Amino acid sequence: MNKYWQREQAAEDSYYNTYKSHFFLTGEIIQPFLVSLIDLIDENMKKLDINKSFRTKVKFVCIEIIENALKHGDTSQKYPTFFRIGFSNDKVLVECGNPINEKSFQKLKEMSADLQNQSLEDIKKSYEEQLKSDDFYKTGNGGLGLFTIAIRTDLHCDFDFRTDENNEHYFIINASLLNPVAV
Amino acid sequence: MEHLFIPKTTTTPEIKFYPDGNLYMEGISVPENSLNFYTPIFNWLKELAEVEKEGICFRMYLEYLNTSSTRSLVDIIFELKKMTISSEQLKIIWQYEMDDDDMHEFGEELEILTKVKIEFEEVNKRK
Repeated sequence: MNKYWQREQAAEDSYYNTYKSHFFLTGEIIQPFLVSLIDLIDENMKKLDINKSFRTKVKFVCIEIIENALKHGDTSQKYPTFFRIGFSNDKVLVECGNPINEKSFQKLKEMSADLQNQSLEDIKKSYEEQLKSDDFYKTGNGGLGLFTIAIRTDLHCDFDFRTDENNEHYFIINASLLNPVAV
Repeated sequence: MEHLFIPKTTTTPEIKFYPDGNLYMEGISVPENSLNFYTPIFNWLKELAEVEKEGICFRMYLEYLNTSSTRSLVDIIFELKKMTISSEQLKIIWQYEMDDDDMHEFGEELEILTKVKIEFEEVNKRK
């Protein structure tokens, strides 16, 4: 595992105690992987007997997380992208980290701060406004992927930014989803 | 006017749009560039607007889609709304998999976003 994004040992231990089934990949994620990856995750969820509706929710979140990494990922940097999904009886944790350049660093930081200062209702309202905005295509979706993640996870998501001594930036999304049927 | 057929790919849905107003879309919509995929559809819809027809029935069955495809769906529904005189002339049907409440809810969100009435149909296509 890449120690750059890895959490403290205690947090990792807690992760492995909570999530018994995992799917992990690291390296460079490219667009043609997207659907295969989603299909693999879906197959995994089917094997775990996760209900159809919750599988859809997880897939929606995974798509936006991976697309965010594809859009903002800076492959010229030394750190690899990682994607991990862990399953417990009632919860799914999706994590993805990727190197980003200075421009994306500033943009994502601003957007995540904006999201974290809003209520779910306000985020839904902003999502609707931005989705229908005339600038939607010009702004490359206006960062609505992060809004989708926040809405689909009921705000159970956080965004972590790390910068190393060479001023290389790394962005990590953690999104957890609670399966209401399993509770 | 010719019909518009676009075959399904791993990232884009199958499109079967007929000049009589019967429009069908089925599959996955996660294109890398949604404008590239949806622009020919919007162009075709502009032609459809000029054709005499009794009404429009737009049926969709999507397994999953990304945010930019959501915007394109909203735009398609707005285009269809513009070309129909009354709400009775426009029928939009959102098909979703049996027991997939999340996809059902997505259709409801689309209804809120577009303020156009959507009918819901539960189907059993995925094994």
